[in-house]
Amino acid sequence: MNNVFSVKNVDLFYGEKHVLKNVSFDIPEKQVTAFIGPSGCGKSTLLRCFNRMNDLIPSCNIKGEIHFHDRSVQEINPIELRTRVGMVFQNPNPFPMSIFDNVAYGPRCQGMKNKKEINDLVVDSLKKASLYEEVKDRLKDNALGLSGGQQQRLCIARCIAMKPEVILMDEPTSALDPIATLKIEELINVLKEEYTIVIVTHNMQQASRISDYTAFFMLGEVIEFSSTISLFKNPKNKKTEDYITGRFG
Amino acid sequence: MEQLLSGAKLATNSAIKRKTTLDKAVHGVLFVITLLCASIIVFIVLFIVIKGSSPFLKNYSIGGNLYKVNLWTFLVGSEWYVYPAKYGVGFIIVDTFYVVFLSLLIAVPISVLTALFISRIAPKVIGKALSYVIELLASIPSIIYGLFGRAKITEGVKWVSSLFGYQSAGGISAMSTVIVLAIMILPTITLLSLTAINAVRDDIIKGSLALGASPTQTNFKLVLRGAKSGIFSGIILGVGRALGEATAVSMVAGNSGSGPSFNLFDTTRTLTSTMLLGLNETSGLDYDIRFSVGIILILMILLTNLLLTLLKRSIGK
Amino acid sequence: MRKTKDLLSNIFTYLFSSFGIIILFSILIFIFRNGLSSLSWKLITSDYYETTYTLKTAGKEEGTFTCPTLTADEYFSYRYGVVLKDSTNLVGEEVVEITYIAEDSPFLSLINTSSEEIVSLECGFNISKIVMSNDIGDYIYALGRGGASNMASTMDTSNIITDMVASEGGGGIRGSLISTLYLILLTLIISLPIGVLAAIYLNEYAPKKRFIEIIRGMIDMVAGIPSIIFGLVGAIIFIPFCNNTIGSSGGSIASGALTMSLILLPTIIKTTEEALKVIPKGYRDASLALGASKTQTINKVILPNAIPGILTAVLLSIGRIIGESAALIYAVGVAIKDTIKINEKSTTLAVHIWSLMSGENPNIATSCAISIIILLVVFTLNVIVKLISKKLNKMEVK
Repeated sequence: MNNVFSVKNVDLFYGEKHVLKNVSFDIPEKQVTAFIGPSGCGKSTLLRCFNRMNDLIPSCNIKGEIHFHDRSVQEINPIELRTRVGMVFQNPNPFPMSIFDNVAYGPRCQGMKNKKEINDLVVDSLKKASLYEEVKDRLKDNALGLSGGQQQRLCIARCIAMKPEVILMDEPTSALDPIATLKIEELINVLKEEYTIVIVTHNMQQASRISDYTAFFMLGEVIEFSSTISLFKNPKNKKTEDYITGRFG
Repeated sequence: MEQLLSGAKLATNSAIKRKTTLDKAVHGVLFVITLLCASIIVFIVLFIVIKGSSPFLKNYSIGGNLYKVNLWTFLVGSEWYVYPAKYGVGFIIVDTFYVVFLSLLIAVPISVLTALFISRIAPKVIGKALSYVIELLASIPSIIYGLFGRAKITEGVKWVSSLFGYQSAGGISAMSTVIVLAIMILPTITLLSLTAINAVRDDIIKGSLALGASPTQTNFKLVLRGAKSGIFSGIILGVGRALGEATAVSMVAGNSGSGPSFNLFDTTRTLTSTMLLGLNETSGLDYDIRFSVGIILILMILLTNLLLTLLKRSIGK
Repeated sequence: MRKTKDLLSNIFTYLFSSFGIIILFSILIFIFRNGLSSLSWKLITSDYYETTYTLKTAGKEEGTFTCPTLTADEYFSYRYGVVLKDSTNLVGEEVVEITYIAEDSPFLSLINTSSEEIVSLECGFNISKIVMSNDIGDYIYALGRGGASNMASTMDTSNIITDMVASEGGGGIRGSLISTLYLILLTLIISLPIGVLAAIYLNEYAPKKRFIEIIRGMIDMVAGIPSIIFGLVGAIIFIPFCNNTIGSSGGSIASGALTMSLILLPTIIKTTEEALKVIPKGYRDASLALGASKTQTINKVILPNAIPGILTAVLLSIGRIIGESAALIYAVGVAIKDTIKINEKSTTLAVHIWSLMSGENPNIATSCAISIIILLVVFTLNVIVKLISKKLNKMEVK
């Protein structure tokens, strides 16, 4: 099996604060990898390293190597990296423009102009994000009029429209109600056929339901990384066991 | 691998390079523009100082004679005439401060009490309406205050002065200037005091009331004390506005030729009215010396701001 | 004891608080009472300078005209067939106005004394002076301020007009209105892009470093400088600059616009920045995460969302330009003009008032009429700005 990302001895600092401590593991291709752990343990921070969103924080300082395929992410132009590694955020953040324009935003930014091509792409992406049936009559409406769950699926559609290899999801369901959460989880199950998905979640049930691999983070360290089944069935580390059995966190 | 890259198909290397270069260029241009905006203050001070110092360095030909202004007589002088050229700004500084000080004496109590009234005493609707009135006053341009002052306030001052048996110059006087200035700085001080009074914490007020103080006592002893730093900021801003106000003041001050004069019914002369009135030529000593007055004005504003800020700090302790 | 003290304090508070209202209403009443009667479409659309003709009749006039129906203050000249009425011109001088001209009255075919061309007068012309001679050859005259009754009866004793000064229009503010609009437009064209771009740099690009704090401080300092100082700056920097580039001589609208731009930049930067701060960080993240470049993010996401803030900046700027006088007196000048060119002197409405008030006879009526216009615009802008900021606040809560 190929690895999309390989993380080697990564240390990350926000100013003086040591956020990630000597993290190393690989993200396998076309699988769902979940990051779990108590809040503030650095899981979102690592996720943001994969598409270099941490560049936007001036005080952030990264040591170690993160490879995307065979190139270090620090050597890839962030624009290129981000076209190939999409991201869905914790809070649904559609742009205050029409549903159509939201999905077409990424391709247009890359210079796609052909109206038919864009149209096909938008419809296709919305279908893949299983949102098309709900919004097909109001593609020109403002995206902010959608419900929270719909907005999040729109964000996923927006991401798919770029045809990335990887989709990073930063607690994509934490702001949603259970039904909307279920829909997103179903969607992730379908999407993993085509995409490598890395998802940060604070919900262990969610991780066990949807992921193939799980990394358990604590205080900036990766305590355990293995297939989801083995991590939840027989955790090798005492701390992992304590966490998944709910003794803390 | 080829199939995987389809996601970034459009983002070719050259396209990305172009975007990155554009980003850098935009960043650079924006930075330069921002620097330009920041450098305005430097240009203002630089150019005015250069032009304003020329009357003391250069000889001007007036009626065939060469004339140069002596810096010392300029600073302490008590006369300002074009013919014969006598330029002394000393009495103007004194007159300016006299007028501004008196206008503060009128405006500060009114402003502070108005703010107190809006914030703590008036019913909500009335308070809101009154604060809107103050905002409207703040938005009236100075030329209209000047017009009102010239037409109405001078009329009133003329009447009052005649009661004292004093023949004033049609009401154009220090008194009119003081009143116009007081009206003009009233909204500034009121609005800042209002913000300060609104910011006084509610639990402190409740504590005072719970100790048996009457609402009025609480308002005057506690609220005003708690808001004094903000009120002082308002006063500082008001003084700045009063010192720099030109149009309205020029319409009622009268530009007396000598002084200082502390008679309220007499005409007066402020730094700004000196700069604005009788502006005919755009060259020569009478024009250039206005820039020297400009330097003095900037210095006065900076100095009073500095002094008041220091005073505010010592009071705040 | 405490109660009396409280009562006294309260009375003082009520008394002092009413000052604001008293002042606002006295100003409004003063301006409307004096200005409303002069405020008319004619005032807004006519020139400041009247067109004056010096005229004479072609020959002896012996005719007698029939009198039309007159109102109480109108007088008829039987010899010349015109109805006259007491009136004041837009500058406020007493004149005699022509309100009716009979069909073949000599007033329809007068001769311009300087060009010898035939001039046909119309109703609405003002006569300020008329010199005539009678049968015996004596010269007689009537002045506008002598009244219409006197002029009509004097005219009927003569049969030749040798010298008549008639004029139309004048006292209007069309030129100043246009120059104000030019100034607003030009100032915004210069200052808005610069201000918005600087705000974008400060909010979107600038690192949070001491250096940037100093830059901010320097921009804030500009806001504290009185406008007359900007006038001086305009006079020594922009007037020579415009003289050398666009062929102006002395002040011009262009130098005024450059000066106003300096005054407005801090306001524009600050207002735009406030609007940028309200835009959720999620928009920026989402756009960048989709592979958009920073420039694209700003163009497509940030700027469209900052439009209400930029609009507020525009409205505040317009208010400031309309009200500004001291800086413009220096940077543009005080000469009222009828034909407006960007590279020539002229006055804005506010400076028009200054010019009217600084002459020998202050023209309070027209000044108040202009003030009504200025106040209406400024107050309306105020209300709109308030509405926008209310809407913005609501967005922020969301």
